[in-house]
Amino acid sequence: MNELFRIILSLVIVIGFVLINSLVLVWLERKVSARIQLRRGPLYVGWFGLLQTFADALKMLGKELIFPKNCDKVLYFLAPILSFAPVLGAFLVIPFGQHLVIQDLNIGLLLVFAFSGLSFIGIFMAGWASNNKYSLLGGMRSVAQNISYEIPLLLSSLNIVMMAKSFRLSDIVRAQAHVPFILLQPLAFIIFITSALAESNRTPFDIPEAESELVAGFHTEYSGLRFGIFFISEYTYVFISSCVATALFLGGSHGPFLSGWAWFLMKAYFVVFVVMWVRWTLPRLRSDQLITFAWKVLIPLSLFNIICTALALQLLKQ
Amino acid sequence: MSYITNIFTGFWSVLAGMVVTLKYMFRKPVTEVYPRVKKPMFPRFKGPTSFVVDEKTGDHRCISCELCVKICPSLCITLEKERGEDKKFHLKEYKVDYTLCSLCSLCIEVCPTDALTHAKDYEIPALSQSEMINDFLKPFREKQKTSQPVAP
Ligand code: SF4
Ligand code: SF4
Repeated sequence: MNELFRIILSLVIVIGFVLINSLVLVWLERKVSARIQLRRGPLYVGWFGLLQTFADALKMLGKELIFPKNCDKVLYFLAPILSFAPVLGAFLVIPFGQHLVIQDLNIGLLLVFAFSGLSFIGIFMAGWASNNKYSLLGGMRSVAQNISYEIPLLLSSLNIVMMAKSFRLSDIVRAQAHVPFILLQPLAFIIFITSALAESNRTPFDIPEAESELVAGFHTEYSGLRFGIFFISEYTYVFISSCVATALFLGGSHGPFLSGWAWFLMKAYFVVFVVMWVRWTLPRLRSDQLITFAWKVLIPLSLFNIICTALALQLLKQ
Repeated sequence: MSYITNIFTGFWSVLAGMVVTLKYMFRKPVTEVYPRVKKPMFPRFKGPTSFVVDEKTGDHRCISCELCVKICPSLCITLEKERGEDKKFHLKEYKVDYTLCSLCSLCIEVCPTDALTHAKDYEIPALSQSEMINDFLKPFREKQKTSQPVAP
């Protein structure tokens, strides 16, 4: 009974956090993009335009939900939900603080990757069900991209697992009490961030929704709340990737003076900021360049990195 | 070998680009928050045409020669005049239809007394076409009313 109550409570907290977090992240994205382009961004609604995204979300709630002609209604309805729900699951194992983790599983890292691997099924379903050639192209690209970039993502985090000797995220954080792993594994960190960018369909890897070629990619036909859910899931995905990067490489909740969760959130939002900064700096890759980059650069590099890590660990043990 | 140099140059160019955008992030924005902050217009800004107020008399300088009416390519100036007792023309009405005016400045150049100029005003939207027909004499009439009170 107690356990059930705990699960329901944490689910409510997570959903509330996800909604507020994505509103804030959209605001941050607008501000960052505006400042990079020498604009000002949202200014008037709320404190520095902080409520602007809230107003936009309200507007989105009032929009009509449309079923396109000849679409696959069941899949079309399910797709946004399927792309959003797995992201919530990933919150289960993120160690926000020393004891601030919903369920500290011993396969935590694998669970995050399993859930995040599910979310592109929703995207592909959206592309398929919309009965629109642009959506279908976007969905197919998304599948190709996610399959390719899942491998370097896993391989680069394998280094960390080898060093911490555990899949449990809180153990990994504990192993970084003195030295964050980014100093020991800079190459793995870069590979991880790059593939996480690709996994969450962010520029420069946003070919599934490339607006200059595919209108809006897989969510071309979506409107109103369903479009909003895709949006929220994308931003939550970015946040989850940053959280995992924080836990794996940046020392998680370790830091002087402030309490653990404050350090964790600060580091996570810094990674989110870097992700946005990359988005507004780099142009989009071509689809073939993208796949080439994954298979010819990232995967060999991460394999090389694993061999080096294994050698170093063995030599240090003796 | 070119494979490795490729990776390094690619990574280096990404870093260089990121540094450029980071520098831009701390520059002052170039946009104005327009309705709240208004910029003074440039000295040669060509706003809507209007009468020059003469510094000496405080009146307009128009002598009703109708040169501007004749030269206007858009036919947007309507002028009415009457001959006064001193055998001189007096301006009764001078209206310009801004829905037609192309701001070509021909009327300003042709005027023998330099009575016309471009105003610096740039907020002249209107809700109907009739509001866009501007009566040039209106400010002068109002001024007369305030300066010469009607005798009882
Ligand atoms: S500016 Fe040109 S179009 Fe406008 S009133 Fe003068 S002559 Fe006519
Ligand atoms: S050209 Fe000048 S003086 Fe002649 S009617 Fe026009 S405004 Fe008046």
